[in-house]
Amino acid sequence: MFRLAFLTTGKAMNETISTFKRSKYFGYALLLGLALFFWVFFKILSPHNFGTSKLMANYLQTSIQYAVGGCGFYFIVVMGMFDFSIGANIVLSSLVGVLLSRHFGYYGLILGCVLCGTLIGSFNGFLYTRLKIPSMIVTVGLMLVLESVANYVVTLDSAGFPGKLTNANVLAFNHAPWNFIAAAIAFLLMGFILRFTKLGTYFNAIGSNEFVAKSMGINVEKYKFIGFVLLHFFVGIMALLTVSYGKGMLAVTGMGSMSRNFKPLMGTFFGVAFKKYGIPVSAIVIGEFIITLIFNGLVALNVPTTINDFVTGAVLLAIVTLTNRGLRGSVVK
Amino acid sequence: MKKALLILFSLVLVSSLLFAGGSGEKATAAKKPLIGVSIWSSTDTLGSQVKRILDAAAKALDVNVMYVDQGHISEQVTASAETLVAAGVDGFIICNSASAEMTSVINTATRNKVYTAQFFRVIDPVANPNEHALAVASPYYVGSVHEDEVDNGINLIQILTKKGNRKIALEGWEAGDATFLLRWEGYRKGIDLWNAANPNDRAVLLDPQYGGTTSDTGRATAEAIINANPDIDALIVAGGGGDTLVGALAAIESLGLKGKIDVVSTDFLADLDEQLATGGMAAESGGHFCDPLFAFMMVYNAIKGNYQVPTDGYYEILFPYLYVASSEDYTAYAKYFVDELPYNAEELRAMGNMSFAELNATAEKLSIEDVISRR
Repeated sequence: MFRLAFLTTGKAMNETISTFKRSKYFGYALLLGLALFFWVFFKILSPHNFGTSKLMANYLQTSIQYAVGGCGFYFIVVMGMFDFSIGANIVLSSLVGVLLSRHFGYYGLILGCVLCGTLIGSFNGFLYTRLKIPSMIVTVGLMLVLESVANYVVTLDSAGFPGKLTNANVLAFNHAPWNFIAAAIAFLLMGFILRFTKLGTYFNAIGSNEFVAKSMGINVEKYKFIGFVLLHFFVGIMALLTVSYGKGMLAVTGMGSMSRNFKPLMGTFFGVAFKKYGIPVSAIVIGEFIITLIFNGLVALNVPTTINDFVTGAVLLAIVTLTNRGLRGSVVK
Repeated sequence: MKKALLILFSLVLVSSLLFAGGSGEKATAAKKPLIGVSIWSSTDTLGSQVKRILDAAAKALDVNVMYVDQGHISEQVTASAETLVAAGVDGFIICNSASAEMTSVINTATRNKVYTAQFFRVIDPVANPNEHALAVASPYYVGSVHEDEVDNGINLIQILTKKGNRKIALEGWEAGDATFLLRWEGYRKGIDLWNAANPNDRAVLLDPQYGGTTSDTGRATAEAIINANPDIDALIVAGGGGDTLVGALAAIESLGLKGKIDVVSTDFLADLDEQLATGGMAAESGGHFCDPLFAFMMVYNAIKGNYQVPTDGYYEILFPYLYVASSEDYTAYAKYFVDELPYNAEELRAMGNMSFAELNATAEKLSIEDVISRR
């Protein structure tokens, strides 16, 4: 009798633990635990020049721009697609925003960045869905096109400092609170879209099995197009934050914008890894913060940037591997 | 739909051919020399200044000019030489990233009988003996125009230490870049010289962190450096085309440290006047955007047959840096180097007929006073 009660209690406890392990609270605990782990690690090694409350706010400020881009990336990555033109879009949208800000102040800067970004997304989505070529190939071609256009746009900027935000009257997004406000709006919007619209469900369904999604009556092409538009809308917001953060943008060619794709993508990896806990937005934001934390921690230890990149990449792989292990025998695409 | 898009793309391609044909027709009517420019970026702060002076020279000499941006990425640097040769240039000037790239660049030039010269760069015969030997022997490697980067580094450290700075941080742009390595050597020598002369008042230079060539990465790296070393009193932004410096200054401003951390650099900003006046910058060395002009003139003269390119050496010009440490300094600089170019069309045409000795002397004496004396 006693044994039976013990077994029943044990089974119930196991179920409770198992349920907790699948809940969003466990996901939050895991993310915050990781952030705390790295904070403690670097704080012990470098107690005086790392991790104070003021510095933590600085780290967060640096990371939010990438988190906004990471949110956008999530929409297409969950559908199994990729976009190499993110960096080129950031460059072009920023330069359009800077150019328009010369004439229309904040309206020009904000609308220039966001509208240009969204239009590019529509163009990408249109080409991808119509040409039926893999997204990687389409977007590599578009990256080259957008870089060329950006180089043309910068020649239109007749200011003495082309591509740079020299006017102090349009620099609100360069610092708190407006950069945080813009990012928070983007995060809330992302959360709203995923939680309260059918888009999130459809994106996941398409990502899980496109053919099944199609047979369920989901217009796959339409939602892939919407995915690209949403991605680049968020990239437009990222462009606004990035150009404000650095007070300017540099036009590049020859795939020089490629490296800009990867920092937002790192956040997206966190989002995808923590999707099972139902907290992709928080995972992207905290994930980008963790990456910035590691970067700053290594600089505090005077580790050269090259080794810093190595450590950041290795930690990212380790975290995603540990949190997103596939089932035994499952096929990884 | 696919057919419609294919037709559209075909039309775009055909129209581009027509445009190319149009310019080619003009070119063949009176065959102008075509000189290529392989540059890290023709649109960033320094790159756009370089483009401005080269465009003026090309116009004055009635030469066509073609730019290829290579981002200082090694494989793109070597590919840029091949691209320019394929485009039919008669010669090209190049700002490489690492000296190792010059083997491929010089071989491309020699194989295709196209003249080439380096700007902002020189091949160190000790560190890169093979590349140097190749450059010396090539009948198409005209030479190089470069600055004394080590001396520049020493001078900037002297400016900082004389201002009372003792803990100096360093932000580079790319690990292994040939110019950065020379400047870094200069900074270290400057520190050694100061410490040898002032053993009881020593200065320290921190190891470099690399901020890339964009303003946002420049700011993130500068913030990380300052957060990690809150007691620094100076920051050297070694270069990177100017955008790294723009980002670093934004970082200092956002942290409320403007005027508290002395910043020196080697790329002149368009708003340097304001930065000097408000304490954003302590001093800058620069004005070297005319360096590529002399490399351009060397290649132009080689194409015209005015310079015989030796096979036991090459032409070399050591270009002087200008140093600006106050708003007054900058006012004079801005008048003769920013608002207008330091050479007018007539002077640029004259340069196209100078002997190498005269060209070298012209480069060496370039200064604000020199420009004033010619106006």
